[in-house]
Amino acid sequence: MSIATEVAQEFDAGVVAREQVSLWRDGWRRLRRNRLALAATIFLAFLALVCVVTFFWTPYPPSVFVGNPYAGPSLAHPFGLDEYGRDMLSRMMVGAQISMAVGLGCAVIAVVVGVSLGLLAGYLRGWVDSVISTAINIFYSFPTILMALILYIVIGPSIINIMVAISLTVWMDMARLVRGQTLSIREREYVEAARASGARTGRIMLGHVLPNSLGPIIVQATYIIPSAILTEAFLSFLGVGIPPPTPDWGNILGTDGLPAIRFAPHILLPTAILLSVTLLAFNFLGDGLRDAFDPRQKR
Amino acid sequence: MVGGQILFHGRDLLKLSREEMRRVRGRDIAMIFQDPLSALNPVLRIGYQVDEAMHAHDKVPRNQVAARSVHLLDTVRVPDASRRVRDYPHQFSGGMRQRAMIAMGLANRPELLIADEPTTALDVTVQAQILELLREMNRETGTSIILITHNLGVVAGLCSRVIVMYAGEIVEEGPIEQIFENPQHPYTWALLRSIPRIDFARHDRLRSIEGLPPDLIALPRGCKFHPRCPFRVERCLTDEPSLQTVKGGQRAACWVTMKRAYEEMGAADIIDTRPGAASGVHPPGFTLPPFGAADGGGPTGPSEVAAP
Amino acid sequence: MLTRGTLIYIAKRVVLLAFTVFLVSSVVFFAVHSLPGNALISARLHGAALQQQLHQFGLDRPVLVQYWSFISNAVRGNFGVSYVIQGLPITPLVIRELSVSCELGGAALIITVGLGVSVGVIAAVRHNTWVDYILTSLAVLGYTVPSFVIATLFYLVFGVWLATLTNGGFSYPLTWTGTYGTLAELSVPAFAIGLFTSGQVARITRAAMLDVLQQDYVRTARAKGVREWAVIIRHALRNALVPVVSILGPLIATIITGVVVIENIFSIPGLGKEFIESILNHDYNITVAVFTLLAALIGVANLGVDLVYAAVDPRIRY
Repeated sequence: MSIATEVAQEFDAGVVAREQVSLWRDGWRRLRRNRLALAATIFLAFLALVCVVTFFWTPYPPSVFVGNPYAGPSLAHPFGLDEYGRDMLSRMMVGAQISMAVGLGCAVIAVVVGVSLGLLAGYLRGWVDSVISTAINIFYSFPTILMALILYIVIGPSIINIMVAISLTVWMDMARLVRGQTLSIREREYVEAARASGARTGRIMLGHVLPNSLGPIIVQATYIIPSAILTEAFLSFLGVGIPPPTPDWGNILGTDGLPAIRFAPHILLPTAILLSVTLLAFNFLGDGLRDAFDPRQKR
Repeated sequence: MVGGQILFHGRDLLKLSREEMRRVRGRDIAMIFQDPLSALNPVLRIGYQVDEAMHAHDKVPRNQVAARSVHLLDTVRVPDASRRVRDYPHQFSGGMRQRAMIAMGLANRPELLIADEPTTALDVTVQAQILELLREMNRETGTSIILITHNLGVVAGLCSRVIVMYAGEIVEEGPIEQIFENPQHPYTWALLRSIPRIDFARHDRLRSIEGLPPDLIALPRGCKFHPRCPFRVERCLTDEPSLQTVKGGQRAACWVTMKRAYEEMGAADIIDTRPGAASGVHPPGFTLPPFGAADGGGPTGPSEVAAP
Repeated sequence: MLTRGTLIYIAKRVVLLAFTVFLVSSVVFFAVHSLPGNALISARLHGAALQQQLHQFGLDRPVLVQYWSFISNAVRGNFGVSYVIQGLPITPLVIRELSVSCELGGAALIITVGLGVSVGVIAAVRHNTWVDYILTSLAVLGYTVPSFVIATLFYLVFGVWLATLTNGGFSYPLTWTGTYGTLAELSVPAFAIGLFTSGQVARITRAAMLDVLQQDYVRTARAKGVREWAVIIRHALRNALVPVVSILGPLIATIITGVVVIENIFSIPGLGKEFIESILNHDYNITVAVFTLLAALIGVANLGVDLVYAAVDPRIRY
């Protein structure tokens, strides 16, 4: 494509976007142009659909003996059976539900905590900022997963608790991002104007600063989901996460798959691949969203 | 694409392999750059960076490199050179960094030193020191210097031969005195005329060249300077002039030349320097508004009409 | 190198480090002592026998008294005894395990930096060629596939399939035999950790190199006639290492997390394995000791990173 037509198209896109709901439509348009991100979106939509279906139907009950232990894949059980003769497909489906729930739940907690702390640090500055920034740095340089593990054991195993514990490990990026955004946006003219016209601090933060950093926040939240899923799988893999018999990708790998790896790798392999692909898909989606929202990177 | 040769001692540099070219760079032809702040590697010591210029070639014996670095920095008047070789660039001032760059350039006693706007990033007093240094180095080591600059004062102080370029092409060349006293290309003339002169007591406006520099992607037809030239003739709009000898050693690429402009168009006391103003030649469909009417900054030539 | 200012800085950091370690172990101490159970509950003791055992370990005292005795012993390097293997002193045990974990983590760190930087440099130098595309894709795979998945795949490939394929002729040693393992035993787990983190290093290195190669001083070096490999290594890479070193801190935390999980997969007798075992066994004296050592290890590693940072970038002075 020649430079001229490209410029022309970009110009057209700009005009169309301005006529309609600018940022979002423009972003969606560019996201669609990125094939990797599109593939990731389709995969994740499929996974979400599976999670919904799992609420109403699984091929077999996930935690009940339904056939020969360690039996390999067959027509009746496409991913085989585990050491207690439980259907692997059903277990993977329920595991997907838990992973997605933990991922989304942690993203929500991280957004709420990270955005509030980031806004406070960036807008109020002074000692509030020093305290929050120091906390961010301490958390960064520490293996927070191990901290989460202790916390999780103290507050006891449940899916809500695991979300709370994991959120401890993922809020820093969001807080740092929002703090930086706030520091730069609070100096813009429209914020000055709002302040000059007597708007309260809270109103400026929620009405001006927050909407203007929404794009980066969404991108960051997309990156938080895979890291939360990974942490949850990590804990369950070590046997200190979601307690059996509830299936979960981590304990399928660690508790069921790993001991049987020499003679029944079918228990472990599909889940390992599914977990990796899911993490990859969220990362690609994040990259795609980042490019889509980044006005400097017009493509 | 335009073809050509870059001859250095009869060798065409464009035909050299990468390795051959590397052996020329820094050894026979050295270069110093515009911005000494970014041209020095921030994580390496000054002394190391000077040494390296010599280590890359085998012109200076290995065991003399370190001593020569100190000597070079001393020569370019970096104070306390024997200690400051151990400094990092951020511990040097802007002028000192450019001195270090020059020391680096001279390390292998090159035959040619290309200085690309060496004083642009420096303040005026430091500029003068650096130029003095270059002049001295040229006298003492016999290194030829190609100075690339837009600053005619620097040219007058340092150079013996001048090449004036416009839109990537040579428009005039010649000995320094001739170019400054008797410019033949209207661009050179306009450039020299635009220098503010302290000995002119008149409270003149700063004289600028009308119009904008050409868009290098869509260059004008004919002479590249015609959209801004007050002396253009019909031919300038269509045909490109080539370099012609005007006087001993002085050549200019112009259909008119200032000689004719002085004789036929009264260039000596011209006030209206808008394009085509002196010659009355304009592209079809273009009329120059009366002089003075456009004084408020309105469009004065085709190049400005075309500009957004 | 070691100026007075640097030494003062190091001293300040060591004090801060000691304080952090103290804080962390206190938090963990109170956390685990607020738990309902301990090792003795799983030992199914009741009534007087339980009371007698609790008394023996001092667990019937108020928690603040226990805390004081823990702290006063810990500063003298004594972390008490194990509840499970009754009477086993913890300090020699965890120190030995710490050395094993340092061995594994150090190997993983070498792989992380060595592999990541090499891949990043090559990808940047061969920018926008198929070499770049392949290496960049591998790096993306590296940092999205978690270390325990890589580890289990290694286990499957080297430990199971390789032996099956060669009919038992060649099988890779996967379980750690001695305390410190052999080089062969070390390499697979170290790679399993290092691949994940080297992906991140490769990504940062590539981006930094692409940026640095555009800089004026690289042009200066070329203008001096410096050989191309020297331009890339000495001029470009030296500068590109600055952002790489700046992510080493968080990366070390990731590596230590990796060490914890990998030790459990490959049965490596290090701190990570002990950490999980002590939690599952409710052997909380060990949990606290292990966590204290991990906190100290990370603090020391971060201090090291900051010193390396100053060595790589002379503009940074402490």
